[in-house]
Amino acid sequence: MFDSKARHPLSPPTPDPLPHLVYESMWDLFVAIGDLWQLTDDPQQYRLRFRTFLENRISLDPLYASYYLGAATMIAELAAQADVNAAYVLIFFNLNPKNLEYSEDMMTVIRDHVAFEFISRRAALGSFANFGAKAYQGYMAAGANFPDQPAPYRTAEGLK
Amino acid sequence: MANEDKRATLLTRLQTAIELEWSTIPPYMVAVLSMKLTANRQAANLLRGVMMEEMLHLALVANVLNAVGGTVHIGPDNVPSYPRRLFEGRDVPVNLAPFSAENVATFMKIEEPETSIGAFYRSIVALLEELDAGGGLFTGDPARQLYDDYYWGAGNKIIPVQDLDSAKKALSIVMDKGEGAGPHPPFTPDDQLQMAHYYRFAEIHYQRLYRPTDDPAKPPTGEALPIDYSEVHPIKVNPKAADYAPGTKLARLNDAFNSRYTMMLRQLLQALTGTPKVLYTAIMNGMHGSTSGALEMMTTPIPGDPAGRTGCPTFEWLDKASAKS
Amino acid sequence: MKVDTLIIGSGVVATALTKRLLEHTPHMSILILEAGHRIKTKDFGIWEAFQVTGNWPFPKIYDLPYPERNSAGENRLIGESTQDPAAFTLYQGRALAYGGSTNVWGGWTFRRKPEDFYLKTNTGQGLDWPFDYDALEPYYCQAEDYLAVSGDSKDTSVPRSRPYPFHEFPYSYVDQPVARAMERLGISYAHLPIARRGVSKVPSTHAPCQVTGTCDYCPFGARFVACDYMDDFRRWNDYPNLDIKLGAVVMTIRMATKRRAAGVVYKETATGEMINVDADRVIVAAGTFESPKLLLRSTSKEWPDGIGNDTDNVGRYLITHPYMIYAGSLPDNPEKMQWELNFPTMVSRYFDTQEEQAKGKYVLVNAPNIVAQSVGQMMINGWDHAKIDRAITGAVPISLHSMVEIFGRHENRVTNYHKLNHLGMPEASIYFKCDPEAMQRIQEIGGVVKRIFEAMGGTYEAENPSVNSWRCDHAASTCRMSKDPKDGVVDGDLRIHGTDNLYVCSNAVYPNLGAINPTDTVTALAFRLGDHLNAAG
Repeated sequence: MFDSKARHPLSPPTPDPLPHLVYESMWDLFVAIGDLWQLTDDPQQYRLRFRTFLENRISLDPLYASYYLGAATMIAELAAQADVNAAYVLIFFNLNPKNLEYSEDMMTVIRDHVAFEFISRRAALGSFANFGAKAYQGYMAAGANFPDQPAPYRTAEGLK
Repeated sequence: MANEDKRATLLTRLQTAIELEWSTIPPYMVAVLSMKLTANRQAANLLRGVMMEEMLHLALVANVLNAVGGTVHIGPDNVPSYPRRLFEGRDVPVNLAPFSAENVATFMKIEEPETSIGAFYRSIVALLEELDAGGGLFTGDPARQLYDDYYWGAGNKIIPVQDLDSAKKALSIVMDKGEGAGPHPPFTPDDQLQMAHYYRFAEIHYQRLYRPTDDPAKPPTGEALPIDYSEVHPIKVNPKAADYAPGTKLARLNDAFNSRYTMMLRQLLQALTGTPKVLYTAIMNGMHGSTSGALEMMTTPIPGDPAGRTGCPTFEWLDKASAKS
Repeated sequence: MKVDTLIIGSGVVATALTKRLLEHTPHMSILILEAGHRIKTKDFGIWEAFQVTGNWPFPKIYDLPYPERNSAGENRLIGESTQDPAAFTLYQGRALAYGGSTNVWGGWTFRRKPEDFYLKTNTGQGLDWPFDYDALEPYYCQAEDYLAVSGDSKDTSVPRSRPYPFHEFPYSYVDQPVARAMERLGISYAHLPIARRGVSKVPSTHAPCQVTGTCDYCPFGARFVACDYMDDFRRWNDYPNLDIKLGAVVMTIRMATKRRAAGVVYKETATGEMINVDADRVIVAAGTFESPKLLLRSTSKEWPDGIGNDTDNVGRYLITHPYMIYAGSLPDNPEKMQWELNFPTMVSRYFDTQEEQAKGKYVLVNAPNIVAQSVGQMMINGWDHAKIDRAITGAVPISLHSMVEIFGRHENRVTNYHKLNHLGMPEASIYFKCDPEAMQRIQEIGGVVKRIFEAMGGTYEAENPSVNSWRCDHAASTCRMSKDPKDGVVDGDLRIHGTDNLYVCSNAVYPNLGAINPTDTVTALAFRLGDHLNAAG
């Protein structure tokens, strides 16, 4: 309870909030994961936890504020060439039917530090359940193992 | 009163009860953190246990409110500020203050058996019984109930509520241990975790533990409980954000604390209004992440303070510029 | 500086032993010296980073790999094993940090079986323990309470006098096909006892496991990590004379006479300063590699070959478990079985018996890694929903993990190497050659697994078997117990033969490993040592 919270030596006690437009762009990217993969879980339930995630990433590594700004900028530039959905398809599926122009180096950075992390986080927050499981590595909310309640994961049937 | 009015009264009283439990937590937390732990470890453990049980009580009351179809409200308009009179008719205000004889006496008063708070909770139980007489009161969404997964640090457990029996059981935990317990609050010196908060504070106040054979109406006669009220951080009592000059370390730390506190409250609200799982983040990131900043404030002198006092978090709602979403 | 008790190492042994000593004598002065540093446990931000990247946040607690042409590396493997010589490696095995290897352990908490104390009597191999299972059984109970083990108290395959502190984790869905196949083949199985705190009436500042699935960095602290419990001592308990120094590498143990340890010399790595500490007794709890290395470094007129080494047993008989992953596949997975946990729930000790002891007894564990990748990883691959569904429900890999007992050989050993590692500790030089019989045994186990996979309706990979690793975190025997001083290093009380106040408590003292993970046993030994020291005064 009393241990100091980990943060980068360059990080202030609380990071400055992301510019509103950057935050909204990142949130839209996070939501788009659900659309692109036809996920049925409502992303609105993750909104506060998503904000905590961004704050913690920046606090541990201040460069993440730049990654998020860079991602928002790139998405806006791609969207201006066609539409935002084309940007998302390019980022997540590396498909470019509309021949959008972009920097490969920046795309690699955005994928590694933003897009793929958002996928990992969203899957672990609950989207994994779209594919049949009850618990998942990284899912914090399965629950404890109570002796008089169903287990917090799918169990074997009829074993002794 | 017509049934609709009674139901509205019930929901209002349950919301009031939530705010009551909530408002005890920052003073207990500040008192615990103010202790240097070079001394007073047993008292710190007692106080910490009480603080965590208040969180349990909040969860239990929320379960009752949700079970009868009400909605919890937590927001900038009802975040407790200090000094605070916890309840109508209670003259003693509770403060954000260091561990002290005076503070402990205040805590005893809050937790005193057989008071207006006790009557208040009993009126809630009476309303539940009356309104459920024909059945049909407990119409709340079961998905809003909190289960015991989220509570492990102190006595008792979270009970999900779905009917009158479970509602009364949940509220009896609150009444037995907590504010306004009575008429015979649990007096169990052999099991401190089951003992009413009042008696645990009494042990600190009298600097002695109870024996099972003691008369609970009289001071304890058991083993000495060493207390050293001088081994505390000299924190400012009932601070406000305005007490810390802009740009100073304490202002930055206080902002950080309040940001985290605010996010924790927002996540708590989400957890209590249909997404219980968020409570894990509220606890693990919000609560556990706050304490080190609070401690750092308590060991940082307020520049120019004539009494040499140190800082203390102000527990104020803080919406950052882009944090409205 | 002088203390009553000096403990070298800060892992589970140091923590359990300290608890037992201080509960008996709260004002005892105990100094714990740890070469490594602290890592931050239970931090939510670090946990999120670990969850999304999969990168272990604290690589510096590990040894580096062995040197290669283009990287300096650490430690040396000399000679060869019959496998790839690089297989026996310290890298990513043990953890050199406050709390020791429990920072990274899996938490499997098996007890040895009664026959494991009589390897020599039963097989002619190795050495018997100087005491038997019954002597250690009460301490196993205490260890399992302390480590917060969730286990099946109805499982009587290993005798027990008290229930586990928490009830077992139910078999997970992925255990079902394995269990059915084992039943058809007449192979018994059981719940795997695991150090994951459960739900109890007694509150604890340590949370119960919420099957979050990131056990290596548990955000709740539900998996026992020694430093969390050591922190409890220092914060909440009243032990004014307990002190712990990190970044403190013990270089030698000083002897006042041949029999009597006087204290140690340690290097404060931040400054390079060498510091003397006197102690009434010294406990070497530094693990299988560092414990013998320290004794070997501590030479004197009285002990020219190192303390306790007149009979050339210090650092010798190095053993560990080869850890096998036998791979196979199922033709389809219509029930969408997936890896929902991060620890296994099922084990078979059917072949972990006295009958199998001479050939090498072994366990089979169903590690929950069905389906090759997580849902998140498949999305990162760019697979759409339909492709992910097909990957989950189509042909999927399966595996069974195994550990087998191998026997100690005098020539397998660890010694000091003349370089310092990144923590300022003398490096290790390891000679390890595996018996051909052990490799044959590993093949035979593969044959059994093949039958299980086929009974599951699956196939067994042709490239099997592979020794996934020689688990250096299970390494043992380098300061083995013996009744006769000529056969070992410590006696049945873990005191170094020929000394009065110098003890070793780590996996190093085991004359043999059995087929199972060592931590439950070493924790039991720590409590037993504590009782012995308390009785001795």
